[in-house]
Amino acid sequence: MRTATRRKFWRTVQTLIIVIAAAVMIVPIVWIFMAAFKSHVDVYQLKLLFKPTLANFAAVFAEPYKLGDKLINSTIVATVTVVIAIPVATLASYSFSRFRLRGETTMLVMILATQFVPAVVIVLPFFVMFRDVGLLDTRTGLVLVNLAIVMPFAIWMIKGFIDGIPIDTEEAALVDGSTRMQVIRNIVLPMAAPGLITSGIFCFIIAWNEFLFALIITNKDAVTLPIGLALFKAEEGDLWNLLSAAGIIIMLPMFVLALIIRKHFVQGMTMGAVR
Amino acid sequence: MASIRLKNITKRWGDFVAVDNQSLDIEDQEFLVLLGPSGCGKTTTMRMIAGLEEPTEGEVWIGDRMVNDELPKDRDVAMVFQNYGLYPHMSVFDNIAYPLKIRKSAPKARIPELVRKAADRVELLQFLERRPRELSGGQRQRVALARAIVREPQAFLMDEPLSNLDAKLRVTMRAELKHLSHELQITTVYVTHDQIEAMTLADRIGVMNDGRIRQLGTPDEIYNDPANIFVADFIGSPSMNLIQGAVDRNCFVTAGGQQLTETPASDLDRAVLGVRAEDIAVVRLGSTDVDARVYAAENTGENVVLTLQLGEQRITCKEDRYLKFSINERIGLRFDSSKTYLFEPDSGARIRQ
Repeated sequence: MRTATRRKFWRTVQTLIIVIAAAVMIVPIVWIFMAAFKSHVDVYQLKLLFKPTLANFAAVFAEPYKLGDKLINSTIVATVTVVIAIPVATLASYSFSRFRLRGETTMLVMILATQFVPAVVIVLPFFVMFRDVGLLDTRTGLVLVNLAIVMPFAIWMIKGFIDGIPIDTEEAALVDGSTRMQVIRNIVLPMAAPGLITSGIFCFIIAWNEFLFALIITNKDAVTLPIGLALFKAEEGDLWNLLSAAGIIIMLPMFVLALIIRKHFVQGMTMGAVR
Repeated sequence: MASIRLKNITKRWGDFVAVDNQSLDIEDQEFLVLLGPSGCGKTTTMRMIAGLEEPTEGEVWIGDRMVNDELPKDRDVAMVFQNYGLYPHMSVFDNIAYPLKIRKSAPKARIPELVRKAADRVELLQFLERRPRELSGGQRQRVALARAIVREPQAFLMDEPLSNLDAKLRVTMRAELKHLSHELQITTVYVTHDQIEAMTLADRIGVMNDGRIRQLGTPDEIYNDPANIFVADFIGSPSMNLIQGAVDRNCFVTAGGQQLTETPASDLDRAVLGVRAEDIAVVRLGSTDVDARVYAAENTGENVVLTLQLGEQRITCKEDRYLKFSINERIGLRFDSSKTYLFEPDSGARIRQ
């Protein structure tokens, strides 16, 4: 009886902790979601019943905010980053995973070490370099910066997936008559696909949310969505309803991508290749 | 089909020597088994034939071509891996068809026919649409076999193909392999650490240790005429008794002073006598010069395995399963001098007279 009571008590405590943790994460999102559909006057009131409006969404895409331009910038920058990063990282990871390279460990650690440098430290050198070569306020500049940010991450992540592919499978393909490139195309890529998709989505999310560099090296033409949010600071205070509407637009693709990752993440990798 | 020749092959990784200046001639259509403990260099030797490993020194010949600089795909050998190495994202049909498709060695229209023929040989016809993960271990191994036999390679290389299967299936697959190799008549190199597989499948066995083939011969020669202590000890279960002693006036005398058996060898201060467990006969105490004490008697069902205390040493012998022994019982032993082997204790070499 006593153990049953105790177990019930702990069960309750657990539930409570989970509810609190979930609330901490979800409440702000719910608040933003509601604010995005509220009129300017309703925003500061915590009422759950209000007359929803789509006016905020119309406003953020109209002059003077023109969030559409930022949306296009963000989409292009994040997409191009992923399209370059994943193939390059895949080839790098494959080499790290399958060949014995001179100074392999050092190289891998160095690649990882670039992630230890606080972005704030290198943002100014980047600004100066980009100014000298005319990359300030360009999407190309942003893609370069984002590549520097996501590549180490992508290489390490994809290497993990390729390490998981049994070497026997590749050697079998070599003996069966494939060239190294055919092995990569016919065997490694299909088997690593869930990993490549997952890594691609992670890179997309990182590039999409990147704030610091975009803030410093863009000012007009190449401004991305996270920087665009700053536009909604007006003289009369923060325009919370517009900020929220823009927030929803930023979050929505992330939400969809997160769902896709979840599906691929749990998918088995080796799928009965060995034993 | 072709012969395979290794000329003074060496493989080193840094200071570690995996294969040490080894030469080997494998005849056309021969079934050669490389047998040895793990780490003896047998798999490395095979991988150098396949082209998956580059020899540090020496030459690999397949037929009349020196293939050192050829990629695995150009050597025209087929390999079966311990872990099968199947393509998990392809159906069984596509797995078997892959070598044909990638080599373009057969016209496209003939591929289904060839795949079905190979699948039929290993009784896989009803599984062609399945993925490897939907198959049992034995079936996966048969897919790997079918993928090897679907084309007619110069040689088969098999790297412990049965060691992931359970004991019962291993026996069945062993017989299938034997039958298949008889039908196909293709040069085969087979790597294993299982002496039963080696004895049953091989035309010739190369017993390897420390990167060298210690003896190369037919299963009969390996079992009945071991060239050194390593081979004598490695082959046979239980392994051969190795008794320390000396040769004195054409008689092998144990360290404890018992005269075991006659030997034609001249006098030696130190020698090792090898005798298999089944070649020692238990006799009535006192009817020979040798007596021993029963340390343990184990009935395996097939026979009784005795562990005996012979002076300072323990030996094993196999006796008829209907005999009963009690622990500490004293018994007499008879050694058949024609079934004993004399070895040099330091080098391990056989002493022949």
